[in-house]
Amino acid sequence: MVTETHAPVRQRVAPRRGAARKYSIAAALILVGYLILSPLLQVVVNAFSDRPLYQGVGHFSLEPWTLLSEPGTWTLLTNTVAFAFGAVCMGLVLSLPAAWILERTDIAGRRVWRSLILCGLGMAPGVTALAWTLLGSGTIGAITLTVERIPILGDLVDINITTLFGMAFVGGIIAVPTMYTLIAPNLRRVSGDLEEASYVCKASRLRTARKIILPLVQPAVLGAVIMMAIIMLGTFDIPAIVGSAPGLQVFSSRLYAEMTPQIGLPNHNRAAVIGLLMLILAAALIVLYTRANGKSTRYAVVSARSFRLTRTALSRRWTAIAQLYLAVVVTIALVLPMAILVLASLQPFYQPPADSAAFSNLSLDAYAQLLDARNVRRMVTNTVLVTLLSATLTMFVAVGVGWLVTRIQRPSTSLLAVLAFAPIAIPGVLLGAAIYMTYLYLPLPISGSITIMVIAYLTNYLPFSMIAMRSGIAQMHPSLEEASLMSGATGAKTFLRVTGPLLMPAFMAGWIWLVAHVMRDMNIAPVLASPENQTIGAFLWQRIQDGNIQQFSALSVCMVTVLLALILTWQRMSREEG
Amino acid sequence: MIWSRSESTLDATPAKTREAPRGSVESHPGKTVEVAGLYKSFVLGRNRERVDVLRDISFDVGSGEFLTLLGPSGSGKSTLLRCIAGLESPDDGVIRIGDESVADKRRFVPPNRRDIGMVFQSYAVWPHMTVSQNVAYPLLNARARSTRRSSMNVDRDVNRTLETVGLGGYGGRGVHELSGGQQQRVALARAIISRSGLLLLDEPLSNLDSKLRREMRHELRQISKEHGLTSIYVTHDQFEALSMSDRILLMRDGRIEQQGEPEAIYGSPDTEFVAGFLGNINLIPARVLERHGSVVIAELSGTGETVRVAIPRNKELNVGEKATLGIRTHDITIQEAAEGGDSSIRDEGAPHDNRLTGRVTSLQFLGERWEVHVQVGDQEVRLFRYRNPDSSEGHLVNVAFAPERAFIFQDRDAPHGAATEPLPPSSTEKRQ
Repeated sequence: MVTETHAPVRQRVAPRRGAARKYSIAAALILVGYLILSPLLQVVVNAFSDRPLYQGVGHFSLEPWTLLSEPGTWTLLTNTVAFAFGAVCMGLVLSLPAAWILERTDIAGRRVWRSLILCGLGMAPGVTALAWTLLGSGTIGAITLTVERIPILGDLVDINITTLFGMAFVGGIIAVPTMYTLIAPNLRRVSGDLEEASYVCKASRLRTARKIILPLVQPAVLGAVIMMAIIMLGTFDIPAIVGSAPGLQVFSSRLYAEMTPQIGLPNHNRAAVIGLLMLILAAALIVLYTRANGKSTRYAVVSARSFRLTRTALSRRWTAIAQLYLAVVVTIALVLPMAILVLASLQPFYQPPADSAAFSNLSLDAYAQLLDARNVRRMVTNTVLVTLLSATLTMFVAVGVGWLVTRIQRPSTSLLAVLAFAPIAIPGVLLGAAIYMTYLYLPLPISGSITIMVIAYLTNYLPFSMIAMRSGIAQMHPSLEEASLMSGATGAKTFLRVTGPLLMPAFMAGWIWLVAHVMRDMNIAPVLASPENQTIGAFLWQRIQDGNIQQFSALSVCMVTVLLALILTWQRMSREEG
Repeated sequence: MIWSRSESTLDATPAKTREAPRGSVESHPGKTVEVAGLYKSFVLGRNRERVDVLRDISFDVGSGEFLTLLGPSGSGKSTLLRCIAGLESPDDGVIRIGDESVADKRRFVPPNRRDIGMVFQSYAVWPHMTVSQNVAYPLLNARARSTRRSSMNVDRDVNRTLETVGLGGYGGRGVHELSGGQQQRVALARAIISRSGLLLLDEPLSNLDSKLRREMRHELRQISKEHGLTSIYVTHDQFEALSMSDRILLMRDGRIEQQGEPEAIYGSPDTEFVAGFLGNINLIPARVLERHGSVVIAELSGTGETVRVAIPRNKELNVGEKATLGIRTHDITIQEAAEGGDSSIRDEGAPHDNRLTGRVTSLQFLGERWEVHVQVGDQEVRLFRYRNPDSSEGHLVNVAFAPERAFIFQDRDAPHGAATEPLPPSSTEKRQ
């Protein structure tokens, strides 16, 4: 069959394949363009309008911008910058040395430490924020009260997490797994030769780290910093939980307050103004990043000529310091928050574990209540549906768009790439709000449904899954696909039999990352929530507003357990494959 | 452009100047290196297996000497070099550079305090620095430590060193703009700029194409000799070793198999391994029949032929036991034989040469020579012919070689057993 009809078949297939490509690029452009432009349009129009768009197109107005003249706005900006900057710095302090220790030294227990650090993905920002409020708040904090009792230290140190610094601290903890994932591979990729050449050139270890290795990973570190800063900009749950008691607000929590005020009607126009301010901040960060990185395309030459994995032998003293450091990171990110949540979920009402009374009345009542509650069952169904649908759909779109963008070099695919990466600049809570506005306006009956959540997550996480898929596709040599086409397979069959299976590891990694992030999300869910489509994020947020710490803790413990099981299973799977 | 210039410098000086390096020790600033009783093992793989990479290595390098560590991959030559550089710490043994012990039982000097220059196989030039920044790096580190240099001096040294390696005017370039050969030169400049007197080279030419490699062979040796550097050069390429070295240390399985000057080690290999590693050689299983002083009569297996081989008078050889006959391909001559095995026709060789009769099985044209395969009994003999051979495939021929040109190696139960004691260089004299 192949031999005789080969030539005519190829002639017939070639133009058809070109057309198929054209159509798929057009379809991808329409889909991605719609996803990103429709909410953006809402924000822009609402920001310059005298009434919310869902009430019909109003008149051009700068009235919403009077917000800028209000006294609190300036504080809002400084708070936002301080929170994002502080969180990123904290995240860097916690993740860069950890990545260095685990990738470039001969530390013992590397696999366990790495796994524990990545388990941090299972901790939702809101969960960690509440746990650390219970641990470190000035009035009820377990650590605060414990430290106060220590004679001299208690007088000197005053621990209070409900401050800007505390917000940044919690943000930094949340940033660790993601920043670690972004930085560690780059540290590993710096060939040992480059390091050893520096030693031979009479440079000390410290100087080698400063002059050779850090400059070489600087683009990756900067990328991680910028990405995390934008994520922090759009993180609403940490500031909302940690900053609620002292009344500290940042852009994201203010935006939420404008969308869902305690009293009165939501003000979409003012929310849109705040949203635009956030967008400007994010865009500034991206410009900063591209300018810093444009200079550094030359860094890419870190040659794969002959790669040597070198692990520096640590002295006994440095080994002890490094192990202690890793233990501290895991303790503050995982052990302490989980411990306090487990305790809080067992108590009838929260009592800091400073005296024995805190341990006297422990029971599993909260968990029993969860099992009984009717709305919990619906919430669980919603969560599972939204999580699986969003993660799967997003990954498929990412594979398709990623393939088009990587393999076909045309102006249209460049535009596609720009559009698909654009949501990275839209802070999460803003995207939630903008999508809420969009479907209030559009005559589609999906407001308050599961579909709107899936659309929101698809838009929000498309850039991140694109990053994962694109490197996977770029690593796969085109000749693998070409060989399949030359063997007589169609484009679709090639995708199914060759491209797909080869991309499976990257796909799974991205999928797990998405599942964890969608499930733990507390930025988009509260904005889009209705009684009908409530997911775990919105449910947890509701408990916080009700002050029901016991149920919050119990549900958090359940969620984190599920996520940890998922992450550990995936780690085991990928280790067996690798 | 650069290359043409370096070629012209090559033409001006003799390609290879083998001025007795061991004799004129005092006149060189190059450092001496002493290695004694060096052991190193690695723990490898999942089952934590301990592999001995270096076993009891001892040798000296004279000031200004160009020494080559030659061996197949896995023979431990790179590990040995890395031990000298301080990038690996030996399990046991002593390393002295100049007057200073840099590794022994009590002391391990880290690489940044050893004052050596090193060229890496991957070049290891830093992509985030310009050519000048790469080359100046060792000077700036040294300045931070002790000597004070003005930045003007640094610039001058950098430019002068770049001139030396043929990269004058390239200082401001980024290394990513350079070709592989030019990056190699940056690495070399960086290694020699601090005039440390000891240059370590870890397969520096293996990533270059063959023409560049030939040119760099001469240039590397020339630069190291001009600067009076002691050089230790690691390679698996016997041509590099033979053409560049004052002395070769041939390594195998973590031991020194044989050492000596290139001609000596090529002309009288101690073992079958050395003979095979250094060049084209026929290795034919044989049995020693008789020995008369320095002449051995051996029977070639599977052919029924006997040959005479001249060996050193003091070489030990057990009569009646298995052995291997070695003849280099270019030491064999070939004549057409009349059908029926009559070999009385015109003969190029001397009267006492060994003669074997066989049939030509293949004839390959390789440019400047032909490679001829001749089937002698069950054995195949390969030989090179530099004139158009008269015979063609299927022809009956006589192959001949002088007894002095052949080697006989006694088979050992353990191929690299106790008998491979490293010989001091004086005992490996040239034959003939």
